[in-house]
Amino acid sequence: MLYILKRIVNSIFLSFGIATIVFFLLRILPSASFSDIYLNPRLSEDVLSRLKVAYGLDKPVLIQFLNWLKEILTGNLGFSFIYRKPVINCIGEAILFTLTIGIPALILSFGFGIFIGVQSARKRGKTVDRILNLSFLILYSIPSFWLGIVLILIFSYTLGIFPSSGLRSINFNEMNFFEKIFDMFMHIVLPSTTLSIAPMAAIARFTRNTMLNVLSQTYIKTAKAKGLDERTIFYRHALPNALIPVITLFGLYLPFFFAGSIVVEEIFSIPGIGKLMADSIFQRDYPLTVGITLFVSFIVIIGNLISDILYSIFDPRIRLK
Amino acid sequence: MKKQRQIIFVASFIIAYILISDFILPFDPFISPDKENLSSLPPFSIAYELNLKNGEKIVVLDYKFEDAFILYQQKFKAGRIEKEKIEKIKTFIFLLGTDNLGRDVLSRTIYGGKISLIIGVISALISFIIGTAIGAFAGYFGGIVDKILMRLTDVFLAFPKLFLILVVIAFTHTQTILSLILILSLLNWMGIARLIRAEFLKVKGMEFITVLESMGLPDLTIAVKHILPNAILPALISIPLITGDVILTESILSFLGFGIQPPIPTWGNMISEAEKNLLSTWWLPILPGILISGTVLMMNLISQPET
Repeated sequence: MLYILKRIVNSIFLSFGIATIVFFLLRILPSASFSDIYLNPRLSEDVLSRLKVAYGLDKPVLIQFLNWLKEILTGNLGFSFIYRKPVINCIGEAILFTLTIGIPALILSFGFGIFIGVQSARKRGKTVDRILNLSFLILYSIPSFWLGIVLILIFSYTLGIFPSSGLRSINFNEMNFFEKIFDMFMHIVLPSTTLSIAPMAAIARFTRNTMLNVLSQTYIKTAKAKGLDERTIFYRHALPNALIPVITLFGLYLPFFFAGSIVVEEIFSIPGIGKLMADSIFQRDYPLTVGITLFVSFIVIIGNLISDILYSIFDPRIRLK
Repeated sequence: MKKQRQIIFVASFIIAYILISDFILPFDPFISPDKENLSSLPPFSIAYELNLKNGEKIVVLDYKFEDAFILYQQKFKAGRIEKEKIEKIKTFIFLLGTDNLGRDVLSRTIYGGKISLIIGVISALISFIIGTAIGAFAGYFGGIVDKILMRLTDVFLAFPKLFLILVVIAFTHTQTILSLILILSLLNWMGIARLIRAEFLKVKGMEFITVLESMGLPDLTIAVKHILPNAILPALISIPLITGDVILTESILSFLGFGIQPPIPTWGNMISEAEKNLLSTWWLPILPGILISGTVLMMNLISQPET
């Protein structure tokens, strides 16, 4: 319990640190906040000073910082310039789309990753294992945007199986229920695959390594000495222990799937968090940029926290350290 | 030892590539010999340049002799010219085709590789220096210095890297090679700092350090001359890993339009330019992508612990 409490306090400290950096980054960087407006020659001193008062920029930096923190804690991330909506609403709408491709990708990468990793560990040292091992590394090295483009080239443009962008067809509203589900599915396949390849390779490699690690321990030898057959040892004795570290990967990969991938969403034109981020940067909508940055770092921290807590639940030795 | 040989081999290969690449370009990577006639040619295309005696040059896609004339075929028109006017005929071979501005893709790929590698290597070295300094400080002094520096490292780690880079680049307007290198290196030192710190703690606990301390050597001498050489190896091995990571990040940034700006090619922005006309020029993104993957794979392979 103490361990978990310590982790939580640590996370709060981290969030505070990140919020501080974000705030001062904005003050230090040129052309953030209002410097673009200053350049407008028709802007009178009077309007400028009123703008400053409206946004609280006339107060000392420290007070501004405290005010800003207070706003964030009450869930007010500011107001988006381009969408003319509170930032928190923009994020709320975008996260649905991000999750639509994120959750299938999560299932895909963990399912396949663990399965292939375990199979690779079973065939350890053999040619199959070597080939799998190398292909994990290759898959891990492929840039996701290139993979997305190649998949579009093959499956959309050449074979014409899957649509190349968006999440719905144009005539989505005229379809019946099953057609709608099918349509969604066809749109999800390519982006989810693109998103899941790199983490899948990483998870497979990690699973294989922890599996081999567990298999070299003495209790496995004991099980063998007892005369248990290979299958039972492998799946009943080794696998559950090897999966503990793998489960903690879940927390670490949480932001990867739930915070949106700028690249994948940009290629497949999915209006999720990543695309929102890219748009906000291109259009210099800085409250939105800051809001999303905070949101994403928050998910990263939560992910780390989940991973720590899961680890301590499954492996009580951690708590004693 | 085998690992060190591998790293030295790869390092010298990269340096050789950076030095030589300018001299092995088949064409100018920035300017096409003929923008209109050579645009969007598929791989293995051949074109010819007819040099006239009066100094003019005509780029044609095909030609044939007929009596006193040469009949030639250009992209959108055909024509003929008297044989005696021609001084010589040059053959252009575009192994990987051309892009929509008629530039040779192979040349651009070779040149772009130089830029990508320079960014990757220099940025990784800078990260290495920053990481080593911070890790060494934290590890050697311990206590409050250690706590502060490690919390700082944690904060940087929790920050989504790509997001931070994008925010900084977007708000500073800077996209020169130098600023990109600096920004990328500011975001990759954390792993090295942790490694160096852990090694420092390990070495610091060894007996020979206690002996040196009792001999009255100054802190700095002990840290730099005696602990550092013993602690640096694991961090050194991770340099290629960071190089690969930086090349990948740079290509993603270029893809999003925040990296090196065209016309300077990098593997990343070649792919992003290709994405705009994917249907008509499918061959543009293939090779740069394979080369990025290959380079990153090589970096991952040499950074792997020996098994």
